[in-house]
Amino acid sequence: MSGSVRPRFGAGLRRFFYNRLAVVGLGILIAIAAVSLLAPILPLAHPNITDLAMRIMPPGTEGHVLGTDQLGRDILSRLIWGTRISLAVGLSATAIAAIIGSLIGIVSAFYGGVIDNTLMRGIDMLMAFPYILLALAIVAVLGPGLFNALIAISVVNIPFFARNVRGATVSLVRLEYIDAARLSGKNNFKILFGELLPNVMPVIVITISTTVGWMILETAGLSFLGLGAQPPTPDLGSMLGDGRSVILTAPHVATLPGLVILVLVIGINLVGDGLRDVLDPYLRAGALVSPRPATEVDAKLLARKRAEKADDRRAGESEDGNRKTGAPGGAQSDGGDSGQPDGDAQSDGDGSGHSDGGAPHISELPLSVRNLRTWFWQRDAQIHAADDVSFDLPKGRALGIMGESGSGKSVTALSVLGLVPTPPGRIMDGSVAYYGEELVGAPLEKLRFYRGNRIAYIFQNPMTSLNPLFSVGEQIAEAVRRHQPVTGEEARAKAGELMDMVQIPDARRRINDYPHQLSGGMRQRIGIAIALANDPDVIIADEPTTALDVTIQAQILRLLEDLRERYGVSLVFISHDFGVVSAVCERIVVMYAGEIVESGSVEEIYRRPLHPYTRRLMACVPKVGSRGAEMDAIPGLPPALDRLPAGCRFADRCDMAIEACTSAPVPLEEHANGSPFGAREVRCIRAKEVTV
Amino acid sequence: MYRYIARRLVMMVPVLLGISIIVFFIMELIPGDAAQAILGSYATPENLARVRRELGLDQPLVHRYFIWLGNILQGDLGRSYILQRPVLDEVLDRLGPTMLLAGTSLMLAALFGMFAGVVAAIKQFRWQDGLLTTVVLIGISTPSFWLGLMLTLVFAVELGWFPVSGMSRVVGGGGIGDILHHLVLPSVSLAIVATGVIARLTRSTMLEVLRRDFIRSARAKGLNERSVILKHAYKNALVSIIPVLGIQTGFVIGGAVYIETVFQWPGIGRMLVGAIQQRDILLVQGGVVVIAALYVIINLIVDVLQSVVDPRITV
Amino acid sequence: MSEPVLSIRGVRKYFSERRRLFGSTPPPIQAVQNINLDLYSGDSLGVVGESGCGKSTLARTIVGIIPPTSGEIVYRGSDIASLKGRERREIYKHIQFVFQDPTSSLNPRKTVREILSAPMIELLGLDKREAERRAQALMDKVNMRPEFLDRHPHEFSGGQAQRIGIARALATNPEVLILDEPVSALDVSIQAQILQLLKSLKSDLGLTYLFISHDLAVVDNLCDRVAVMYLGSVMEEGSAHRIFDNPRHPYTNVLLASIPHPDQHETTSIRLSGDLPNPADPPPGCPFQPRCYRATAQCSQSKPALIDYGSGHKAACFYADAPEPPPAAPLESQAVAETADVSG
Ligand SMILES: Nc1ncnc2c1ncn2[C@@H]1O[C@H](COP(=O)(O)OP(=O)(O)O)[C@@H](O)[C@H]1O
Ligand code: SF4
Ligand code: SF4
Ligand SMILES: [Mg+2]
Repeated sequence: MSGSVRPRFGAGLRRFFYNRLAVVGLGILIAIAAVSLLAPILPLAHPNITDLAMRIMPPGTEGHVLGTDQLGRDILSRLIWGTRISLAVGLSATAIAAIIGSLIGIVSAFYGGVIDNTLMRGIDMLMAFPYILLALAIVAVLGPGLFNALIAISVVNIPFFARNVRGATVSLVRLEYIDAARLSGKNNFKILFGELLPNVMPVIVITISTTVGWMILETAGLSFLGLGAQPPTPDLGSMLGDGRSVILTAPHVATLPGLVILVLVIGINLVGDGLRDVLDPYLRAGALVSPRPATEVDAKLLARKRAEKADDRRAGESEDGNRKTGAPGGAQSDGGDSGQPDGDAQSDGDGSGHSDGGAPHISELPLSVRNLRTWFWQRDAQIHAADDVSFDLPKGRALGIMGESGSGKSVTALSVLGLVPTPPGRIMDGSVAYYGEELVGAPLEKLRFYRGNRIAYIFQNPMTSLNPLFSVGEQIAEAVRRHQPVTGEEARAKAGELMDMVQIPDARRRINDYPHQLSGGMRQRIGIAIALANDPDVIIADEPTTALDVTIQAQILRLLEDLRERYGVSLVFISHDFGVVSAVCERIVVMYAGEIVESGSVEEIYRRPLHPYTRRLMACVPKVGSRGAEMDAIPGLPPALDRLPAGCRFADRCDMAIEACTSAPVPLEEHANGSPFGAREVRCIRAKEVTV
Repeated sequence: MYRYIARRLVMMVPVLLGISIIVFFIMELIPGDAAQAILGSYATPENLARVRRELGLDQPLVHRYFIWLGNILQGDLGRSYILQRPVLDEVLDRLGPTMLLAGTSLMLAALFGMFAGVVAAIKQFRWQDGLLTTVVLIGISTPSFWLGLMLTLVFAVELGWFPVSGMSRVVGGGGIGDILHHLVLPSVSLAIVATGVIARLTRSTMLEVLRRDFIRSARAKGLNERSVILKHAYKNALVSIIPVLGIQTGFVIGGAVYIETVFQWPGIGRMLVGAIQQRDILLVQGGVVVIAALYVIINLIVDVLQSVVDPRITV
Repeated sequence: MSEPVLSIRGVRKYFSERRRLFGSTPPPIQAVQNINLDLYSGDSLGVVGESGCGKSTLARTIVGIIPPTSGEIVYRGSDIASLKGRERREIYKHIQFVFQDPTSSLNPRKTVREILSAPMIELLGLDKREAERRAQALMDKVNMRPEFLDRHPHEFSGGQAQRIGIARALATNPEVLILDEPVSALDVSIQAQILQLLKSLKSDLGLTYLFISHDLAVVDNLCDRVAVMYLGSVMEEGSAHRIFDNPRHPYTNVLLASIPHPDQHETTSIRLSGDLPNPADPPPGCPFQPRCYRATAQCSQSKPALIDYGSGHKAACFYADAPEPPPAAPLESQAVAETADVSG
């Protein structure tokens, strides 16, 4: 009906065929299905004709390619007919279980309450029996036979469908589009079968793909025990059972049917895995690729860094022979290392001494990011998440990174210590230095030494950033123990102190609480305590208050301010909210579509934004008191980061755009100096035209 | 914790009642009744009536259920008419071997499954992952009874390393060594599917957990991969794995039916198959009730285990 | 004033948890406690409050997604709180809803065309052809290209999806729109687009809004009247002007003072200590009392009523008639870009 369904379906199909194993599985299944469907017209001996003269012939016998069984029946013919029966029984059992089970599951989840309770208690009862045992009990009642086995297998599989489908439906029923459908006037029937069922279908298909294999195995099993197919019906399971008595003299009689079952079920499972990869939204999003311990650094960049380092060392030996860091090299283990890098510039103490105008040497900066470029490499796209990002952070100062979602703030922050997930992330270019010590391309051991020790993070979502299974005290103590030579007792005491420090009331008792027992604000305080655990030089806070309410946000901002003043830690503070950044920071960089578009002091940017994006963004933030004011919204959307324009990335939304804007990349240029720790910079060719 | 266990214990009661109802009524569906079964098809009507009265079969259904339930609670599961001995005695005799077999298999499956899953996850896309994934795929696709036969053929018949069968009593003459010797092939055959299922689940759960935010937090603390994977990721993966261990226990106990048949293991499974073939209804009933009750207890243990790992589960 | 279009009278919504073995029934969560609000034709009433204060529950109760525990919802003179089936559907023609999460409120398996025509088919009884024709006009109303009708929700950005959600709500030409945080999931620049759209729709179509948000600035921008909620109760109510410039309730004060602003680097002295109390076990007396900087002994003994202090400015505080100066000076002259001028 609609054109856009097809591409999506096509994409799924392509993904399926991309999975070579799934294609192999499909091939196996098609071949087996074809042969068993064609059984009646294939030139085969009748599967049930006995010929006692030809008993137990080995494979290769004239007229019996795979030999005969103990009654002289042709094994090949019986295998093919048997596969036909096994497939038919397995598939029908699956269909029965799928239909009944899914119906129970979906109705149960949709109606909830008493209906749900009753149905699910019934399902629980069925599941209270070990799987096959229940099938046996049913066969015991109905008597042996293929049809009865089919019923037994279907019944015992109903709970799997009911449970899975109910689980999937329960999470869907809560979604707002079900409410929206009701508000659109749809009745329960239409919602159940028009709105829910299409969305539950993938789960049903996935469950089918996992159970069909079992069902064939179980049917074969019952027949093997003599409770399924009755003689002389050929069925893979009963053939195996028959073959068992001659296993010593003629192993092929039992081996062959087992092999056929094995191949058949492997085929089913391969196809099932392929389907799952395509249908499960979780897997589709690439969920089953886990990130490496550190972000990959582009090979070319790495080679260049190595070369530079070698040069430096040669140069350094002549100038400043004994400068070294305490950071362990790549070969050392990280078990016992602790303490701080000795002899670093930080202890020389003049980090904050230089004036705002004078540029400090890179070795005096706790953090210096130069031309950082981090991309995500996907199968068919390169996402330029951060491009050419540079900033400096002197000791004890606070730098804000502001931008809308997707502008590259988090990627920039995570690139500092290699925490961008690889795959798909890769640092393509640039450098990150801690007191002059290069971190991009540093060995993992060195990164680990700095992580949480000299440079610590506070993350956005305090619920998901804490491990739900460990007490908060333990999670703080763990950070302490990793970098300080303390006993467990001491680390725990330190954790308590840290919790006091972030003003958690009644810290001594809360230390044993688990994250779910704390409120959002308290959890974020724990996040801050973890960041403070090793007296870091730099804290990178990525939207630490975005998930919190305003009143709690105010508490946390105040806390961060206090701590920064008290401990002189340098702060990178990321937020999409100019007001929040300005509450904490002196200097701000504004990001758009992966680039810094403007930087300067809070005051300067607030009073006189130079970049058209910054100016218009700030104009469309509603403010209390600006009652009913017309807001001049920025039209359109930010560009897709895998299809960026050649020129200015803001051009198609910019009301000042001229032709020159789109022809070549626009550089970030110094507009004036005199801003706190850095120049006033802007990435716009018309910035000079903005006058006060 | 204790409150939790107490609550789960109380919740077992309705489940057990439900099981008893299901079993009782399923058996009621059988054409003919116990009297018929006891006396055989040539019984005279008078005899049938007498036995029915003795067994209380002339009472209304619900009444009979309560009598039956009362008997069970007193440990009276009736008499097997084939074996001519109390069902309970027979079932208890055979429970040990089944538990030994199923328990061993389950332990093998849990250990190897989780180990293989974790290794495959941390070596994702490397040869270790490929190899394990392939082996596991074959594992979950193999009919266990066939595998049992094949293992016998190779390791018992051809190589002669293990006995073909012949485990007649758990406490046989040979002591522990002999038991273990007899246990290897059956428990491996029985464990293979469960190992595969657990390995696959462990692998995918680990991969999923390793993407969560708190793993990034753990790395941001500077923790080494060992603690990230074994402490933070694995414990979270266990939250998904433990319930499946419970379900797999059910599969293993059920699967024991095949393996006991193949290896002539003197357990409940083989007893049940025989009883079904010979229509020894009371024996089937007794076996099913005892195993189902056992399984309920196992599920209780699984739930308690889960609550130990996951503090979010509260009373 | 004339009769209100929609009147919320004494609405309560308690969520009770299921009873557990061993132990008493857990106390119900008192999400909404005795709320009274009137919505007049052409009004836009903003409901503000922090997460968990019961704003969304109230919104859902009004349209009947969930039934209230007690109280009346009066639309044009008749109580609609307990309507079911056909009568409920009749109400959906007149009162519609816009959801917070633009993507989860659109069925991923439906095209925009199907989503937009459903209300017209089900509620107005139009045939499919006619409904789809009108869907084009709806797209136009929310400034979307009609070609997008054949697309699926996942092909849209958050802002575009929210436009579709608004179009769906407008499909039956309703009189009242209940908007539950419709811009909270959006970026600032997109939020401004949607706010603009909402404003122009309101004046073009003569709509009446009940607008829920946690963002005071957004509410001040869009709404004429405001109700501030805390822990399931209305703390203060009145014109936006009065509430934001001369708040009478300490909680409103705190909310205003908590908004970080570039002009005041120092966060204000009024800060809220502690966390939101458990709504299943609200504190005695004034709900705000455990965290209130003005609380006295009286506050924990009885609950202050919502009293009108003139011109419809109501507050529920014993000290509301002795307001202190607002901590954050009204921020009038802050059109940011006005200092910057573009020449050429
Ligand atoms: N794991 C990932 N895989 C692919 N793209 C990603 C990944 N993480 C982030 N991105 C993309 O990188 C861009 C920048 O993201 P991010 O730094 O998170 O933005 P911000 O923090 O400013 O909201 C976005 O377009 C986002 O979609
Ligand atoms: S470079 Fe051109 S398009 Fe880009 S922001 Fe400046 S004026 Fe606008
Ligand atoms: S009544 Fe008391 S506690 Fe409540 S807001 Fe007023 S002063 Fe504060
Ligand atoms: Mg971010």
